[in-house]
Amino acid sequence: MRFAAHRITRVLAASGVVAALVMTSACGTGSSTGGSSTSDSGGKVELTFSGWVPNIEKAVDLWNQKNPNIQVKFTRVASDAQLNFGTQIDAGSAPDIIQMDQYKFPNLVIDQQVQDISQYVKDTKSDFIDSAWNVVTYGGNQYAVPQDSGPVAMMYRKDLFEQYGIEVPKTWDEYVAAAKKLHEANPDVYIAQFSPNEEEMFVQDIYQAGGSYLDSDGEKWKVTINDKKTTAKVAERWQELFDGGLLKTEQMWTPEYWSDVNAGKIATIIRASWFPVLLQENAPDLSGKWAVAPTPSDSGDGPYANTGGSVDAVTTLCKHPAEAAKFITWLNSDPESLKILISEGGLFPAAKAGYDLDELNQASDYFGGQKVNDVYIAAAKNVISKGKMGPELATASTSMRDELTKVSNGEQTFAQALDNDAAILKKAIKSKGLEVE
Amino acid sequence: MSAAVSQTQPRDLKAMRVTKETGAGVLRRKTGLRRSAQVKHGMAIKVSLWSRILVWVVFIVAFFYFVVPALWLFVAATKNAGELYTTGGFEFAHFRLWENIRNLFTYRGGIFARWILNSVIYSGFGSVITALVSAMCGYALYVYEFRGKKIIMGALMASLLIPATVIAQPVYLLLIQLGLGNTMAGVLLPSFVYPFGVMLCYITAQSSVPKEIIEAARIDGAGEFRTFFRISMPMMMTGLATVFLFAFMQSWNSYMMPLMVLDDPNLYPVTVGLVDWRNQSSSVAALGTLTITGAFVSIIPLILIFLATQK
Amino acid sequence: MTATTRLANPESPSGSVSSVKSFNTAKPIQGAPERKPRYRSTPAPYLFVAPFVLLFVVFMLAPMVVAIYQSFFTVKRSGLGFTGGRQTLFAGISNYLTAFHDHEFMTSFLRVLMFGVIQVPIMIGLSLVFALLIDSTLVKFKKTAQIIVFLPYSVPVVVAAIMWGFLYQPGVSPIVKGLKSIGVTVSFLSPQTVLWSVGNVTTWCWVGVNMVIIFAGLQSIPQDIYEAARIDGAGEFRIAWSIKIPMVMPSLMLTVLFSIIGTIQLFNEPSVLQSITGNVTAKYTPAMAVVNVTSQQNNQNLGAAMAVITALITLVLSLIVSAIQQAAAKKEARS
Repeated sequence: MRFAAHRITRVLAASGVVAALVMTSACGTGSSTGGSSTSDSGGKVELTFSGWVPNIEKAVDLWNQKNPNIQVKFTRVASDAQLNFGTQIDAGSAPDIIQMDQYKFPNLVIDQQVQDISQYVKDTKSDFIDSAWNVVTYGGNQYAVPQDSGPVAMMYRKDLFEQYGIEVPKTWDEYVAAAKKLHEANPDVYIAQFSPNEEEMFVQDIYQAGGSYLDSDGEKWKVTINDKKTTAKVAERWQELFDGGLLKTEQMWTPEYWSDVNAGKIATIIRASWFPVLLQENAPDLSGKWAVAPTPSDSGDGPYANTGGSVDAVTTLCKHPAEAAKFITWLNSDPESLKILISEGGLFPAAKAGYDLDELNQASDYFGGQKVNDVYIAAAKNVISKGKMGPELATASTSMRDELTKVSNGEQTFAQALDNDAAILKKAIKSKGLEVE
Repeated sequence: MSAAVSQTQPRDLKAMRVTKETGAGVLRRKTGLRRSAQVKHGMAIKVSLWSRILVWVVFIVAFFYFVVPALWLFVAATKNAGELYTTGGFEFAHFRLWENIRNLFTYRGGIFARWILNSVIYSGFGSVITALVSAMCGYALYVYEFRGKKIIMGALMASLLIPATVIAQPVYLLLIQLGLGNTMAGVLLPSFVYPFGVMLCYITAQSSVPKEIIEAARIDGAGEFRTFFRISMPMMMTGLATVFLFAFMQSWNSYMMPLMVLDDPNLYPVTVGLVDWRNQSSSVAALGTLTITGAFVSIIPLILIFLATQK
Repeated sequence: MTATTRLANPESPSGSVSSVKSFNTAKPIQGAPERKPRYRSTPAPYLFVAPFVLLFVVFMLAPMVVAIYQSFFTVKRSGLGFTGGRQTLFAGISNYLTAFHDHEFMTSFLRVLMFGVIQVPIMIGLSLVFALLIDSTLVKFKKTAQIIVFLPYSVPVVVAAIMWGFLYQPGVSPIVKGLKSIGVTVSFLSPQTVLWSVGNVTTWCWVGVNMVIIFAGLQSIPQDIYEAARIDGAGEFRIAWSIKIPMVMPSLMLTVLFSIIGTIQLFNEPSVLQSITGNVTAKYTPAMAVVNVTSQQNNQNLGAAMAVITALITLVLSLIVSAIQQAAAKKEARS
């Protein structure tokens, strides 16, 4: 082995080739092998677009038919591909337009890998719900167009609430009271599950209370996830439910979780607009037993949280940002396109125009004939839009999972989890060389 | 499996008896010892007491540990999402295997079949090239003396110690620079570098290609490459098959590099595709069942190949 | 990628350390030296090694150098980050210091160390027992026995982890239910047990390959040695203990070495189990920490530094193992 170690140093010293490679690859200044092909030919613009919404090709085709001079070429990628977009932009091989998860998107804005498209999209602000617009706005400028949103509502076991004679809660106080009554009436029934791996179910309550991971005063980032003003009440409520043994601690999406749902151990699920269809698929036997109501709130009448979705952004490689912005605005707010995205892509749009479409709101047999999205649309129209998106949110949500796991093991409280997560987020932002307090 | 046991056992026993007899015969002739046969006979009686029962117990436990979990996959592949969560792990509900398989191969235009094909290309074709590249290098290291030989050998040893995580990101950067991001070549090219295969080929050449034969071929006027492909390589076949097999298993299992290099799901190998489905199954419910059925289907060909090569 | 190396490990079929050793010292081939000059003039050797060497330099050596290079730099931004651009600056060893101060990253080393100390001996021990049993005259159903132990190897690690994941969850696991019915309550996914549940997946997947390596070593032992021992009245157990194990030691050490390298690079099993339990944290193993920092936090420089640290620790451990092995071999030779 010593032999090997000795040899390797010699090999390294000997390879001048390697040194050359180092320079090109590490600095990202190598020749652009560019996949981005924005070529003018007779006034015709060609744009490349990568995303993962099912059947979005049909909407792109429709655009191409209507706009012979702005042709879009769509490439389907897996959602994991978005982690590579940054590297590809640096290497000059990314597409003109990319779909990004709203939590992962801010890092691209900060690394200046996407274009400021304010001048092209500013006037469309009123077409989108405020909270979605907030997600694409950084320092007062827009860097993307919101694609979908995830307003939150409460699915509940109508039959169980009726059976035990409990009113469906409208306020959080009623919710806690209902939790106690349910569990008393039947020790096997819990008001909800607590899933450390689905940290957003906790964070969405913080959103609803007006909190957020980050804020900024225009000069510095401010970590606000442990801001007592907005989060204390939420943390206390979760702590009370958890300490009272009123939550079933279970990782979400696991067979274990679905078997609990199927066994009727979970009475409410407060989650975003994409959840009802999953419930239907994974608990088919419970058809007719579920209904949807607005999320409880302090006032009993909102506001509601939006857990967000994806955005479409224009990369710095794009030579025709005006045309690209025009396309993504059409894609995400024109009723004709929205019809396709809703019915074939399964999206809950961020554009208000989508909420009037029949495609979005159909009666569901599973939910006893209820028009489920009535509730979700109402929530979307009454969404709270404070707080900001910022750098390192993916880090923050990953570490939130770890911190909540410690809570579930009884090692710390929800309030401590928030403090710890805040510290981790702060450190991550600082390590990027950004100003943070 | 129990059927397999009863089928293979008699054949194996017969084969073993044959080898043992000839082995003993050779030995007896060699040493001229009669006693060995007697000793052996006595041994056999001693063995057949409780220790044989113990061995049976050990392998029944081993069967439960190694094989039964895999049977769970089969049972799970016969269920739909609801049944998966409401029925026991080894308990059949409605037998929906064919329905699940049909869904598997029709989902999104049959992309699963595409993944299987991709895996065959990455692992099958890729490993043939890997074995060839390794064979040429290992052979040359054995046959020739040349400048840089020792450097290559040292680098081979050292490279066994380099964790893949060290080079994953730089390899990806490099592939993008070369315009190989999101291409099959981007997955294949790095997989051809298989230092362990080279070492194995070197050892194989050493033990199976006599220098005299190469010398004789030269005297007959055969070129170096002709000698390699026509004479040496056939002699190294057993070793090459081993390199191929290990390279195949490695790339069949590899997950992170293809995930990094490929953006287009159409280019995915089965493993990456299945994990992608599994991650998406939190938003597309039908994928939960498809993931399990896909996992089951994806190991069938391997088990068949494996059983076939055992014979 | 780590999957690859994890796999790259135990893949010496006939590869025993003795053969690797002969490779290592590159002893001159019998009868070759005097002919050496004659081959110097031919370009053939260079053409033969060219494909491998070229690929090796481009896809292994260069990336490694790039990683080391990257680890000494850092990307600077300013203010909120929306203006002012990015600058790549020389950072000295600051990335390394950050890594050493990362409590979770350092803990992950202790964790895999503990894993290695317990899981590797169990796995190799099982492999050895199965190899010896199948090699002995006790087992008549050799092929079937081999297939049983080797079968899990045809299941990709990722799929195996998904599968065991189901078997660990109380609500759906027949194991947990079965144990409960006889009054034993187990939790495979608690903070204390989850590491060993990961270890079980690893063991399940790799016992077979390691067994094959050891078995190949056993097969290369000349049969007449046993015959002689039997004549002297040695039983199967005695033969295994006094002849087979010492003779197969090189293969055994090779599997240990590869398993240790694999342990430090543990990635696939824990990251799949992460989706069913929060007790596998984001930086549970060194490899997971590297990936987390590189792709989640998008900090390639810090990620590179962590990767280099991991490589160095792998190197040190490998040197220790081979030193122990050499010392043992020397002792053997003396006695």
